[in-house]
Amino acid sequence: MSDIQLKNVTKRYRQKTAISSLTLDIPDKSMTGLVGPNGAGKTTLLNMIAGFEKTTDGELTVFGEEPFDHLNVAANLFYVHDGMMYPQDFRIADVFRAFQTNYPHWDQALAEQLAQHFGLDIRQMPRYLSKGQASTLNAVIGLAVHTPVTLFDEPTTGMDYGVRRDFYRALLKSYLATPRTIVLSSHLLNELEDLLEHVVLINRGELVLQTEMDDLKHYAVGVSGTEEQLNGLENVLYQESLGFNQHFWVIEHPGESDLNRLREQGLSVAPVAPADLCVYLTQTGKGDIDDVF
Amino acid sequence: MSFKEMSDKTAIVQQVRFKLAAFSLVFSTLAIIQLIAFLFSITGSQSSGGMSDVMVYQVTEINSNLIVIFTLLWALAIPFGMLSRDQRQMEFMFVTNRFVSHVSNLVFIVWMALVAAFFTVALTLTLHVTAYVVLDDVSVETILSLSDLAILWLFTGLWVLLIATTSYSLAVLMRLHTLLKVIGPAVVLGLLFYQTPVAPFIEWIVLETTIAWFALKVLLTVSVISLVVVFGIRQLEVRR
Repeated sequence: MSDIQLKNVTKRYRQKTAISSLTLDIPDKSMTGLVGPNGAGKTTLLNMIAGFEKTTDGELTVFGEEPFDHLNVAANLFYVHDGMMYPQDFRIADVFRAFQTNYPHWDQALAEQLAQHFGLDIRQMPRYLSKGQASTLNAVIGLAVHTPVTLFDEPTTGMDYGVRRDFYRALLKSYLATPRTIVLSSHLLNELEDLLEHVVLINRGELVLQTEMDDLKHYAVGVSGTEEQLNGLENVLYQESLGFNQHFWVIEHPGESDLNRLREQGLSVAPVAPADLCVYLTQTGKGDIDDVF
Repeated sequence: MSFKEMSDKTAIVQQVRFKLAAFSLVFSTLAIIQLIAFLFSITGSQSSGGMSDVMVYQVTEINSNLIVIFTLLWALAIPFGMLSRDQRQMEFMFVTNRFVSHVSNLVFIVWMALVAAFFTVALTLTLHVTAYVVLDDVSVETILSLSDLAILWLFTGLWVLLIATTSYSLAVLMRLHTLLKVIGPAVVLGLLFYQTPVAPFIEWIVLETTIAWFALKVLLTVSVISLVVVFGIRQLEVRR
């Protein structure tokens, strides 16, 4: 039984259903990416796993317990999100000290070294940090807190590319040194391809796909050709018209022999990057942006 | 990395320590409010005057009533801030649940009462000394004895405790549903100003003249309110 389990979990806010009958197992001691478009329900899902919000229906367990209002879950799970607030008159050093007091596995040396690396002066007050710096501070805390489960909700918001790259590297090194369950929600799947082991794709509160990252890289292929050539293809995930009777379809990987057969028929076959695949899988029926113009 | 069992007691101690450090601005606010009250009081809280064929006179009484009143207004307002969205985000960053949150907040309110009472006594003494030194024609009517100061300390502390706990319970109720933010204050005002079963209850506390009985009644009321909040209201979510 994995530490985080959901069985038919639903979350409703008045008339709006944010999560709809979601069933999911997050593998233990793994790095799992939670991806999906804006409004997919990623933050709501993480809020429920963290025990911030109640489920409306279904069964959600973390360490075998319902997380809402559960002290042991709170003691063993840390949630990094952009709403993290620090006392007005605290300096970063005071914040670190507070975490040291509250979390037994807190790595003070790592926190200080990371802060120094990312240019955060521990004498500075968090309320004067820029958005990117505040995200960096939250991420540093998430790395140093060392709880058995750590959730990161869009941890790189506002960070520049260099900081994001270093954060991913630090996350990987920290995970390898202290294996634990890490769930990371992000829009930037292309930057996380080499980091994540598992991917959970949700859209409109429903599970679209849960798979290992290696499988996702070979999950689908893009095929280009005329409509006549493409008709008859099976397991089509996405269709787009390129004009002049040329079409681009994304299909589930049919196996190498079938791919060779398609190439022999004159079709152009190309791999689909996981980040693009996630967009194709969640964009069905919406059409292309070119349709707007 | 091992799974850590956490007891309520440990979590409460950690949360109280954190709140004592994190909410230090609460006491800075008290100091500012009491200083304003002090400045108003130094020129006299109550004034009366008259004239006869031979003289015109004005009597100005200097007391710390205004300092106490301002302190109670502070006690009324602070619990609403303790339950603001930002404060809850901050609190739930550390190990807690609703039970631990309520208990640690109530412990903080007790600390508020002790500190506010101490500040009030200290400022009352300062007020009297300042008035005696600075103002002309001061006639000392009463000299505050140690027991007077102890009663003032206890009286202020108990009132702060009662008002802050009541205010905290109202703030919790108002966060249960948006409608309660409107209905809550309206019901409270209605209960206070119209003939309701609450009015005799308030009189039962307010009109008590014996300090020991007053203390007992306040502590009893605070205990009941606290128990209802701690064990009755545990469904508040931490919305983002």
